[in-house]
Amino acid sequence: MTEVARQPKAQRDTDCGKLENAFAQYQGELLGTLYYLVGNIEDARDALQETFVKCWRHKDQVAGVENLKAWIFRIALNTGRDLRQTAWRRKRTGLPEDESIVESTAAGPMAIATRNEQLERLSNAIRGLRGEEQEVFLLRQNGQLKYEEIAEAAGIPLGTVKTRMRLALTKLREVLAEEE
Amino acid sequence: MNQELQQQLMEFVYGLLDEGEANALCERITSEPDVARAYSKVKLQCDRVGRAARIDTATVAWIRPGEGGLPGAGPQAASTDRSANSYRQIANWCIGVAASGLIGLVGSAYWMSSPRSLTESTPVAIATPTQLQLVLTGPSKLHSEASNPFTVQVENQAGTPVSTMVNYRVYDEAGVVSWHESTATDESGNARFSLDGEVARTASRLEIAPETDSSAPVLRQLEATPGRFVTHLQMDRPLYEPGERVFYRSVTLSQYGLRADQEVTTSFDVVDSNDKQIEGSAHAVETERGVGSGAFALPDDLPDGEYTLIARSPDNLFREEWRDFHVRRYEAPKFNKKLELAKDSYTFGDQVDVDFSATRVAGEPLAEVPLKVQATLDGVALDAPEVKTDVDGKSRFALKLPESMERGKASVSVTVKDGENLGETITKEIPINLGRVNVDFYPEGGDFVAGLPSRVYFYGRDPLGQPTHIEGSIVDSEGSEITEVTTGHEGRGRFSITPTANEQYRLEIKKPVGVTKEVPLPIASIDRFATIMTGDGVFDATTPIDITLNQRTPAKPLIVAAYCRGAMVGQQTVEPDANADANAPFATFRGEIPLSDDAQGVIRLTVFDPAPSPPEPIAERLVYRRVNKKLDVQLTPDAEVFAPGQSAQLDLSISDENDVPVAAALGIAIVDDSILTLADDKSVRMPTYFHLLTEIDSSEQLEDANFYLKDEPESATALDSLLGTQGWRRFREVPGMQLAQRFGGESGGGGFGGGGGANDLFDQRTSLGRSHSAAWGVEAVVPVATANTIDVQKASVPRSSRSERRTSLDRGDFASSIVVVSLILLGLVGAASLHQVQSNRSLRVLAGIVAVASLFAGSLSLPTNPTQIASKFEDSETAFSGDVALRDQPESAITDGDLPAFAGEQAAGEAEEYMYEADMVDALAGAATAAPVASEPSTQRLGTVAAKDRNAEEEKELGPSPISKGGEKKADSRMARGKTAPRPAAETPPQPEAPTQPNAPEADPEPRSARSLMLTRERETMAGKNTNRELRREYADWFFSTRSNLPQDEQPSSTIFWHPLFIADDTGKATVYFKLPERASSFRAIVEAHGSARLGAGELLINSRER
Repeated sequence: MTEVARQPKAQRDTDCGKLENAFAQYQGELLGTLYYLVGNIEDARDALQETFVKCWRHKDQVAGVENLKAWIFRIALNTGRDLRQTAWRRKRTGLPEDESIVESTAAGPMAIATRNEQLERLSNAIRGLRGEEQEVFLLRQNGQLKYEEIAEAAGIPLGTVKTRMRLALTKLREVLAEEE
Repeated sequence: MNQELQQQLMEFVYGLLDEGEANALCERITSEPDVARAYSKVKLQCDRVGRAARIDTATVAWIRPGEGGLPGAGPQAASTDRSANSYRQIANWCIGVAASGLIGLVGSAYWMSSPRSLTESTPVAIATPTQLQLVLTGPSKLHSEASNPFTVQVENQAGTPVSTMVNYRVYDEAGVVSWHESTATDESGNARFSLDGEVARTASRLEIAPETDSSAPVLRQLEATPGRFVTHLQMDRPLYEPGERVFYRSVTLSQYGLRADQEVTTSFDVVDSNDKQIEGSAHAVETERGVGSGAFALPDDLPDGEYTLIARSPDNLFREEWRDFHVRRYEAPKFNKKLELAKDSYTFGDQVDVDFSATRVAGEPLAEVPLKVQATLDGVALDAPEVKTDVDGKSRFALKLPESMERGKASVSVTVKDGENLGETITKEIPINLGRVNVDFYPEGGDFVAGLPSRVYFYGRDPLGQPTHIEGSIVDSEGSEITEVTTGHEGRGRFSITPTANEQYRLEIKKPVGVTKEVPLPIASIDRFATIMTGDGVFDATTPIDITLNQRTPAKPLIVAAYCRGAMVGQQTVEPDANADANAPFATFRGEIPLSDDAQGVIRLTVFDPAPSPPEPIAERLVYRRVNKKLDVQLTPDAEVFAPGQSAQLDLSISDENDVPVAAALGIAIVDDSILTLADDKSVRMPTYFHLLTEIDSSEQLEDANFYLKDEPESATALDSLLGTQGWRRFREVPGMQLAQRFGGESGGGGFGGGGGANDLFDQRTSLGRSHSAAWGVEAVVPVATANTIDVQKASVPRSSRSERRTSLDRGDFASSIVVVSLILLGLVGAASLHQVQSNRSLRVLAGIVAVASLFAGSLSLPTNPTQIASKFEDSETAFSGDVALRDQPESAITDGDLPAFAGEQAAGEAEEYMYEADMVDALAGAATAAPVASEPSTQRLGTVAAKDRNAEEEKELGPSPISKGGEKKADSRMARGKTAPRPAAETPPQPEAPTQPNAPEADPEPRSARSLMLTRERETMAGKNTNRELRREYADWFFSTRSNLPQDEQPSSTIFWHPLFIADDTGKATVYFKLPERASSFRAIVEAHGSARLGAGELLINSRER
């Protein structure tokens, strides 16, 4: 019997619920991370679903995971990388970029337009980061991983992680400075 | 901002700095305001980066492996195929449904339009027209925030109620139907409907038609009254010393909805007792979330006396509001003392019960302390007991007044000492009435009617207008006692009586002793015929209003209408009981008036006789419906007791009546309670003001207005008496021309401030802190049609089968529907083609052909006269002018003294933009600061805001956000989104910046904050988009004690925290950080909240004691 089958059903249900709740909670951050990794929203959604499937298949590990968010984001990172390189990915037309970012409608149209422009610039800036810097930045920003965890997930030294993060921040800061 | 600093701050936010670097930066943030501001800005920027880094969409439905998709297929391919299939299915479904609907519509239209032939089964009624009587009752003008209830009564010519469906349609000015509904009549033949604010704003015409066989609808012109506003004015305290700073805040809300949907310009100034303006006090702002605010430094040489802060609307959107305050030098007391007497007044031989309490300013009761009591009457000492306080610092004792006195000038003083310290004394005058009283009688509903059971409210006052305690009896002309009477709270009371005609009743007063003059009651009227009684006068929030109407027989139909803050909120037709005894002297109706749930607060009930034209008001009274839609404000300090000089944190929690957290705009003041006690502060909180005081006269004469709305039986009784003694407005007709001349405009549309008469009338209304003109209520004879008035429209409609006219109407409606559906179908086909969905090509082609053909057929069927749709009712009116009796909108003879409303539409985008700014302000604010912010008062601006200057230097800067020392996680969690502020560093005292005086040449220009930069950028953006909207916002300072590190022998400041617009977010949370002064005292935290059409207030005493 597999390890999964020996677990009580209640435990399995709890792990499943935890996983689904976590995905629901982090959906925005995960989708954003994958979007920047793979380059378009359609592939990002596919990658998100595949990340869920991978996590689901390893749900027996959920109970033993200390930081579930970090665990999910590590899997998402690998999934995004795979999708970026796979030959199966078809070229498809993504939705208009401004539909990818849903803004609160609490503000008026003028404010929304202003904020959308700002977000668009930042989005382009994130997109413009080098791949290595982008990964580190997104894992930190969206995944809230510690730098040690990022180093482990990316397989690079801690110092390199911090250096790439600093470089990413420098580029983003320049974009922010342009808005002033 | 310095790039290197920005980089460092960003690295700090993202946890890239090592511990030493992080600590050093924390120090700088705590001690350097510039760095703190930069940090706030960087936090905002990082939040924006975070938003850009994520993508928020609708929640995805996770597909578990094995639960969907093809087995063995990769999830990527499965999701791709699933997406494409879904699009195809949706497209096909849409096309199929639209095509089916189109076919159905065409068929129905053909069937409906084909002529019928008469057969034996055709009802004879088709050929025999009869009449229906319709009576439409509703507000003369619609209110844009209220429910606008209408009643339609349908009867046949014999007066028998008719059971039928009634159709309603509302048309806007373009002739487009903006609302429609159908309701059935009840057993009384009544049908009800309401037009909410959204419909009311654009409504131009109402059409009502009984569905059963009627071909001629009743029409009524509709018009909405523009919104009106009410402003509440608040100051940090009522007592100042010369040289101190006065902080004030105004909240302007829509009168009915209590919303801050429209920002207004508010001007403030301070005048002395001679109405002379104090130099430098003038100030004008545009509100934000309804809040305007400012600060004014009193001149050092300002003479002692009473002064008044005035808030005005240059655009005449609200009436003036006043708050009186006192200026004098005072010694901060060491004890908080209270001295209260049990009754409003005393007379010969009375026992005066006195309640005394004392606490140290830090809050501890002065327990077991001997008191020195002294009482004098006309200069002679009275016997005073030797008493001491109990464990709670309280004491009660009694004084005995002699059986005779000359002038009746008495007072009682209590001196309390704490150990060897110097004692403090509190003195209170004993109000003695030597037999001179004025009593006003207010028959409930307005008239004392012979033969009808009545209740009479009365109000006893001394010659100075102060409430007087009265005990006595009501007697008739023979001296026979009818009933005993006693005043309750503040000299008001009530008694019941059924007066007989031509009888002179009077009040015989036993107390105060020595009243020699007779106090007659009004003579009961034999002309008036109805009275109204409303039980206890105070009702629960969602319950209907119970009413009892007594009428002389034979009774006639009456209408009872309910109004709340300028809007009609309910109505009830009262019909005579057909089975009632015709020989009975009077008929009684007991019933309820259902009100819309949002009608809470003071409710005015007016009884109309609908027979005359216009309907005549015959009785009126005010009742109170408790407010359950409110904000609960909870204040939680981080310690029970504090030490002088200690930093403190106050967590605020705002929730609605269902305990759901809500966002709200807050006004926060933390003031030395000893000063409030010294000044005997009884400031009215916002809920009391908006729900009660705006609707009553002479509110400034109330000793403690907040008392009336407490959940205590005595409060409910007192409230009923208060409302019962408001008098009622007698109505007279004023010809329209006179009205126009008086108000300088169209009758009903002169506008506030349009003519001198309007201003005078408004100025005569009550306002807190100002005596009001006695003329109001007597001469208020403004017959203006508003949402406060009622209109009753009667019409006869012929009852016949469908006519050709109605057929053409139907055809037009169906043709329009066909056209619309055709266009939709064409659009779907086009969209499917554009997106290259792999749907059945043949199906798409067929659907397109059907759509084009239907479009062509529908267009041919449309009425040729483009105005026919909009004006078809005019046609029907012409055709049936002999049968349908229509009336124009009458000038109603009814008024409550309210003035016509005023235009003031606001672009939706503006309101939202303000909300956006408030969010950004909140994010930048970072809550309490350790240092005050120097501010430059704005340029004086009064009058209509026509062209505002966009001067970024006028922007007020919010203070820095020092943080405590700590690691990255602590900083991040405590400074999340700027919604909460960190603790001020305990070791580092704040570095206050000296507040600037108006026009002070040495004032240093403040560096531009991120917030001011953001506002500037928004202005530039708007300028680029060719908008003429002006931004101009002023904020009072974040005020923090500037004297916390001064020697203790200097006079400490009494206001240690003030913020006029503090935002609690959607979680209903906000946190305030402040530092207590270096002296022991108690401080009262007062929070007033508004949001989501709700009001709330909370208070907390914060004790600071030496340890």
